[in-house]
Amino acid sequence: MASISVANVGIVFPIYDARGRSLKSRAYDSVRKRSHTSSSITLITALDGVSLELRDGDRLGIIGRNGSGKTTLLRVLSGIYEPTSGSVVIDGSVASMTDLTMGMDSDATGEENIIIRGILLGLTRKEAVSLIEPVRDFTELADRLQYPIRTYSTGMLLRLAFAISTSIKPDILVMDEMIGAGDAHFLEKARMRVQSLIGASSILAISSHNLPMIREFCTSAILLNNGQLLAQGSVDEVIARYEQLDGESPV
Amino acid sequence: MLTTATHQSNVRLALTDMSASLRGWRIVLLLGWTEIAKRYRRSALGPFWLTLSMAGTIGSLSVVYSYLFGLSLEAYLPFLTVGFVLWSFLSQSIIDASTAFSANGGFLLQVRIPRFTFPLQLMFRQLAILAHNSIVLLVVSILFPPAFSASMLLFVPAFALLVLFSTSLATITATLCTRFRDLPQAVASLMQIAFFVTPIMWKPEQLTGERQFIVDGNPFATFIDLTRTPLLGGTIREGLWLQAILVTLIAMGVAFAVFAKFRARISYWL
Repeated sequence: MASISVANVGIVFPIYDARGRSLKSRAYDSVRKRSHTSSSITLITALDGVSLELRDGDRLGIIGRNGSGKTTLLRVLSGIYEPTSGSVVIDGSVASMTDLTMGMDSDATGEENIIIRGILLGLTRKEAVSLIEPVRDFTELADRLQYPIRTYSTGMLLRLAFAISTSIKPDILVMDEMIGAGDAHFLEKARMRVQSLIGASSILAISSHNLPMIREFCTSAILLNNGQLLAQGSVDEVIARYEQLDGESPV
Repeated sequence: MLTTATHQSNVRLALTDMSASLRGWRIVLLLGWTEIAKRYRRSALGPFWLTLSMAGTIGSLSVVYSYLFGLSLEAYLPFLTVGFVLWSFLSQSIIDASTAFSANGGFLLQVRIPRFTFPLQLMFRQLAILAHNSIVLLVVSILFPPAFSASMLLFVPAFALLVLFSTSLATITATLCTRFRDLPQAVASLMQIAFFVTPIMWKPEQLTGERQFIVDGNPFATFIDLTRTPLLGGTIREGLWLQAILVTLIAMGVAFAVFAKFRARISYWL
């Protein structure tokens, strides 16, 4: 039973300039009894009072303009950012598909990279090794898997990264935009694979600007604006509210 | 079932983080080993380049300083070698720690990975480098064999204390350096100064009288002395164990406090 419970979460980012990053300046300022505000720390509220409950079977679409806090919320749902106020409880294994090439070593071979990523995702070495054959089949890279990945073309690299990332079946799947990779032939395979991955996960949270895609995959949606939850409910209602917001003058 | 709950106390969350990092030892070994493997991939000698450069440094220093101090090479070279190898483990752990989190932003912002993984990974890497460097120790002990005795086994608990102490300092450095980006340079120069005021090139008994506090009050000197003496076949002076254990406990306490207080902030600082 996977679940995510987000209660009244706020995230405030400190944005430091070079002065705020410097211990020397901070020490100097405190000796001169200057207030911190005169130097350097700007606080940005990325999320404000967001509450959410996700249960088994929930497919949540997150929509909103650029800078509305979508990626920050996804990072909260993945357990990467611990909120500055409010609380988050995440039950279940999480896979966040935000950077497919995470942890890949360009000097290592394709096979080695499969093992590296497998272990990073929490597998034992033996389990990671058993991923090699399925990934070889899926990517159609055959013997190229024995070469260092710096010799791969961009498309090959993406295919490999995609195949490894989607080999693990997590309880909770978090995606920033729909992932896909490769040429037309591979794109169709990738699409089917993502669909089966989504089907196998018990909770999906995806942020996207692609509204038809949200309609296809999601059962509920939220609309974020300036870090606040503007609307929450069925996909159609929330999309309607988003389109209405689009008509209003940008903030 | 994996559970993350953020409303617990900082201390509880820090303990959960540390135990999850230890249970994720596969990730620690993998990330640590990847760094070493990179060095091997580009050159056949790999990290042995570090060992060679250390051997060169020790060789040149021993020729000059044994003459300056009027000591025989037999008396000076083993002393310098053991001290230098142990010192570079201690100081590199701390210097390396200054980028432990900032260099791994890619991981910390993409997946839920316990934070303590990164100090652990760095310590593993430094232990692997120490294993390479111990070849210099082997060569010197063949050239000038020490008087083997059972008391040499005391190196094991002494080294365990050194590892605990280094890990604590590395954790403090790693956390604070993520927040203050001018700190790594300061750490590097502090360790440079520490090298000169710690009895590595010179012998502790050369510094007597009112300057003796430089050795007695220097925690680095405590740990170098504690781990070097058994390897040279000597007797650890009285009170040194107690001093080392106390310093280790204090360092561990401070490290835990710093880590517990700032752990959740690390990903915001990246």
